[in-house]
Amino acid sequence: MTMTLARFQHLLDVHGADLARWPQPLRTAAERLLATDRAATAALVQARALDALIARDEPADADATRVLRALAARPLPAQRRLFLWRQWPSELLTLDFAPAWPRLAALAGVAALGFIIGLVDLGPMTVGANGEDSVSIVAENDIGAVVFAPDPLPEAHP
Amino acid sequence: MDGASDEELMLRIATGDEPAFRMLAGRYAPLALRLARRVMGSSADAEEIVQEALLRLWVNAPRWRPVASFRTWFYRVVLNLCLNRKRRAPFLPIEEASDPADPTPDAAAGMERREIDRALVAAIAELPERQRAAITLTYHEGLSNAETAAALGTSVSAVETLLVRAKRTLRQRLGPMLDVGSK
Repeated sequence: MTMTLARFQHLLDVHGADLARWPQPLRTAAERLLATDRAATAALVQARALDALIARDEPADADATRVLRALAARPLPAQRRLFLWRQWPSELLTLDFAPAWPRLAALAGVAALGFIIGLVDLGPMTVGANGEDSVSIVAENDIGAVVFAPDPLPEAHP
Repeated sequence: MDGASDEELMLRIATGDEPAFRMLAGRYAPLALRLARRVMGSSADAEEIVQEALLRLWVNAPRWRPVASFRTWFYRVVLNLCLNRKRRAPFLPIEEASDPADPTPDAAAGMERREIDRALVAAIAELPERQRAAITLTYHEGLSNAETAAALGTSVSAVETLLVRAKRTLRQRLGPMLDVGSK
């Protein structure tokens, strides 16, 4: 990968001046550029200075006492509960415990639909350049048609 | 409960556990306040926003799902409140950033440093809110670009664009100070 100076400057802004934090391929290309390009070295020096300056402007630790005191001084509002039919224990609603039957039903429905389509001869929807119908053209390229095509070798029949 | 993770506390808060809420609020209020102050430029606005964010955390806890880290999610709540609010005072008054006069022999160097700091505070404060938020999250809160994207509710490439634009502006405004500031 060859890196231009403009690209290098862009990546300095995106990832910062610490090259150790760059993705490996970009770091390697950057180091190659720095070995030969003085302008790139100057850009890196300036980027380090800017990063140091910005980092120096660390906001002071905020005293949240007033906020917490204001919260403690009032009763908490009612929580927004889930609807009754969805009021499962919270553990059941994590990904591992969510009911799977809706997804299984959808998968079974799609499989059944595909089977039916494969059985029914819908006829040519469009006609290709040589007069062949589109189902045959698609059948060569579509993995779904490979599975469900009613006639895998239409050209074999007169 | 002291050693409980944020996610464990949220699960307890979802059942109406007030002590768990107070613990989590105490843990995150300073961090949220620091972020809100930087984005809003006003301590008063920041305190109101943090209070509102914590109340929303309590109200919506039963609906919260641990699909992302609590920290990133809470940053997003705070930032959404900040960015949705009308801003009247764009940045902290200069008086809040000043120090008393320094009588030591290195007073000149100290004064120069304070001038640089003031210029930096003003330059960051004048950035558009989302650029300011991206700078704050990546430089001061230590978030990666991906985490910052999650907190801002946007894509990684959008965060990269925000950082590029912010730094370009800061370079233009602070260019002459970069050599001095690195000393």
